[in-house]
Amino acid sequence: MHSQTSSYAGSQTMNEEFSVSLLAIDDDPDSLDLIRDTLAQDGLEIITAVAPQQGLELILRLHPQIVLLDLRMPQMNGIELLERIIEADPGTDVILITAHQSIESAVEAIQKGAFDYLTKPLSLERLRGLVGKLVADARDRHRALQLDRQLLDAYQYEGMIGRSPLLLEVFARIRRVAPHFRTALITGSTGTGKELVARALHRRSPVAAGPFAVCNCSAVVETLFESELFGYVKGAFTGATQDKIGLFEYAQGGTLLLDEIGDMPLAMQAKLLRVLESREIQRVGSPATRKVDVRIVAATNQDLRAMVTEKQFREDLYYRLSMVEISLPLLADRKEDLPLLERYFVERFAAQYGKPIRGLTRRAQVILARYSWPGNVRELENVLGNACMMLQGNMIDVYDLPEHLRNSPPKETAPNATEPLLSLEELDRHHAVQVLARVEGNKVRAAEVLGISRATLYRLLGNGGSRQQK
Amino acid sequence: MGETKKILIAEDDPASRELLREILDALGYEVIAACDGVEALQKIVAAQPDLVLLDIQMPILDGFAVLRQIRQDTRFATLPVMALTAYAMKEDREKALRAGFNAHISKPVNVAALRTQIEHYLSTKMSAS
Repeated sequence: MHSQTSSYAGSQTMNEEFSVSLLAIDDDPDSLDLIRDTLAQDGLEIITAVAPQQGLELILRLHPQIVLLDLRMPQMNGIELLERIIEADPGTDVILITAHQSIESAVEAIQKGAFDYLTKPLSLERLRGLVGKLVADARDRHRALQLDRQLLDAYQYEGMIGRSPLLLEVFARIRRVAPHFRTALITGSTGTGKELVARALHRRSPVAAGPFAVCNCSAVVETLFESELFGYVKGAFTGATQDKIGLFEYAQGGTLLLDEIGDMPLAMQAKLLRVLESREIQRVGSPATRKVDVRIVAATNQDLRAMVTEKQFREDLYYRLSMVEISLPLLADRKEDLPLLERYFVERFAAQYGKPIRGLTRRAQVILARYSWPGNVRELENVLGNACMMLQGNMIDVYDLPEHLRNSPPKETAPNATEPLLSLEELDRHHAVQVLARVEGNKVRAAEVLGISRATLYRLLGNGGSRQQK
Repeated sequence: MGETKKILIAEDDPASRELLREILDALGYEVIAACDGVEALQKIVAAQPDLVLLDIQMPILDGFAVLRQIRQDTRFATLPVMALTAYAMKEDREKALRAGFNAHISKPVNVAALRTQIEHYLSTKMSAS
């Protein structure tokens, strides 16, 4: 607290740049004087009101960034007023001060949009610290708005946004793979950004200047697959009135994305494998082979390994493709990226719809943070796109979000009672092995993730390191 | 012996949360998990845990804010609450203890130390009540 206050008192030259205003609502004029004295500092404009109604009017007129609500009224009135303030300006940070404290009322206040909840007797030092933090936040936000472009650029890689370890791992893998790969497999649930990764692989490859072609395997009629990929010659079949090149030839010297590779018919899989091995194609109806120099990226949201077991996907093709595999994390596993993604999409849609949208209210962010996001980033994009399109005001609030998000309970994963009980040492090892698998056997990275030294990791893995995992 | 003790863990990182759950499960505790500060507060009231482990860096409400709300409520003023931080920094430890956490555990969790701390606070709590 001390360091925050002092560092912020030291930045006094900021007041020219950006002034923050604070409204204190208190029915006791003496308290207002005390608050004024306690919080007085450069760059902070303090406004006061002794009555709720007067306070609301000031909020509507002046839009203070911070509101201190200190009412010796029955507590529900404080909550009611809080709701009206948030309604009037959802971007306001409200600190609620009451005489009665219970966790339930604090939760209620925070869910209704309060930034924090303090009880009397008030610690002035705490209040000063809290306001200091909010002032610093308000300045950061102001600066961030100006620097938005730069900030986003810093955490953006080929159209993918984030700085979570899981996503940084993906970026690093793209960087390593892109210069050398001939074939690559991208796996990930729907909406995780498989096509973005494919495009990134292409753009970061030596053939970036060459063409990038996409074949959505789930959209091609089985009988047309061959001519789609390899082309045909005039007279090959009824309607083939002239020669036509296929996607392989189109992508010559570039990259071909085979999206939804799991939907490719088995017969076609055999032909694809032959092309990958020989680097030659035959147009339908022609005996002549043609050399193709094309990098292949296959993408799927299906479990190809399971499909191999069920004989729905060729094992040889699977191994050929999965030599280089990039698997994309679920949004639920990288929720720390939500604020960046929210900012990115809101900025984009605000520009698209020509609206002065500033962002999301705290309680709307709470709801987004709690949702499980089965549709991943694409679902987030849709939710924010709809909200921005329908929005009347300038902040996205709870009611601008779809109902199923608002009503979704926090996800609780049930402990599995049927699993055998392990000793703690076994648990450590079990976890280490799982982490190691997630980072594709990279022990340096695994040790980093686990926060232990490599020596400790080796010791942990010990003789059990290569043990079969259940 | 008495009934199984309940421990609430609040941790936003799913992998760490599940690891903690497994560890505490294996130690024989009933585990209640929360992913953010608000959920932690709600579950503390609903489930009345015997001990709480709070990650310091959480979305919505961080560990310090959650602790403050717990300590402000007279019903939970003596509930043992431990801070979990990702960095084994001395300042973090001191900051956590100054803020009113009973103990500080650094991640990655040293299971033996965690166990000792938990047992210590659960037994003091029992003898106090």
